[in-house]
Amino acid sequence: MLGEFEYLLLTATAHLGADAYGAAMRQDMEATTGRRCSIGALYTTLDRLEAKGFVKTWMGDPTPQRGGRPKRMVRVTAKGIQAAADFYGAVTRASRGVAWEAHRAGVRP
Amino acid sequence: MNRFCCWLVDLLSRPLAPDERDAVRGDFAESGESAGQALRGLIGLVVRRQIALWRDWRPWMAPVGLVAPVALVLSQSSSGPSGALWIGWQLRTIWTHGVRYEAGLSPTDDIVTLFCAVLLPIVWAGSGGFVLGFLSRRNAWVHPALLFPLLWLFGTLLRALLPGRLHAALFWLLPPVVLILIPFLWGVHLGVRGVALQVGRTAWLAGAIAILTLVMQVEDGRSRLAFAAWSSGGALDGRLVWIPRLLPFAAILWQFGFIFTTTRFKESDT
Repeated sequence: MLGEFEYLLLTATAHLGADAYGAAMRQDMEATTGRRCSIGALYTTLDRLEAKGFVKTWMGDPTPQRGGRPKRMVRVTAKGIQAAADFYGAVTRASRGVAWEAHRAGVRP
Repeated sequence: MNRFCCWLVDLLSRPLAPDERDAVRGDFAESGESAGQALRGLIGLVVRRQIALWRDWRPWMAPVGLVAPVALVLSQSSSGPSGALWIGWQLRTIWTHGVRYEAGLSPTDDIVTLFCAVLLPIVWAGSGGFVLGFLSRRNAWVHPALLFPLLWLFGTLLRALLPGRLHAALFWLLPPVVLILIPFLWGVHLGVRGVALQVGRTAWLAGAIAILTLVMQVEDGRSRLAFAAWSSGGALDGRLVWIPRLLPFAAILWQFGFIFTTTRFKESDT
């Protein structure tokens, strides 16, 4: 079972597709959640996801706007997609009938 | 970020793996983070990485690789310091009185003792440093076991700065720095780089150290006997004496057994 942050990271990677790398993923996650994402949490979680086989990472080409330094590119694996789908399914099932579910907000105190 | 912050980020990111260092610094450059945010983020990452490294069993084993040789070299059970003291005494006697101290030992004994007293601490400290560096790798340079010799050096340097004590302090500081500290740090450097010694060379080195240790123990026994004979008005009869002290040999077995095993693993990997 994934953790919340792991799920958000997988989602950001899937959103960005072929352009998924550290800085872009941080921007995506911060825009989505409205919370700050530390670089330490990002890279250590990426390592953990890679160790579990949920993502694959490799070093990309250096670019001038990065001071000639390469990007760490990320791609979600089939196993990662399955894990994210399982997490999403579990959260959706667990959220049925609760006050904060879509269209039911404010129904119950 | 100004130049100072860039330098600080460069310095703090050194414990990271080269690829990760490049990726992180590139991310900072691209996202245009302020110096404070970049430093905070970087320190967080380095701390997380260090904690992850300490979850492994190897850094915890590393002090054994350090404590064994240094303790043996520095303690009286090892022949290094006692041999060095003996030579120091001989040199002082020659300097003061113009003749060597005649307790029944020959000049050959002195030369052999000097040779072993110089060589043994170097190889002991070097192999200890190698084991520490090899086991700890990226956290070797922040390993508490490494802080002890560095703190000792720092303390001695501070004492040396006291007025009137510079010469005396430097006199006592130089031999341990040359014979122990530098070889030890060099060993750590090689261990961190994961340099693999060839099996034959490792066995040869272990054998040479074992023989040197044995010779030093014999010379130590002879000097003790010579003193005892001289104190009672007699003379040393020229026989060889060996009082077995097996701890140094056990340490050789541990250290070189470890180096041998890692070498074998490296060879089987390639």
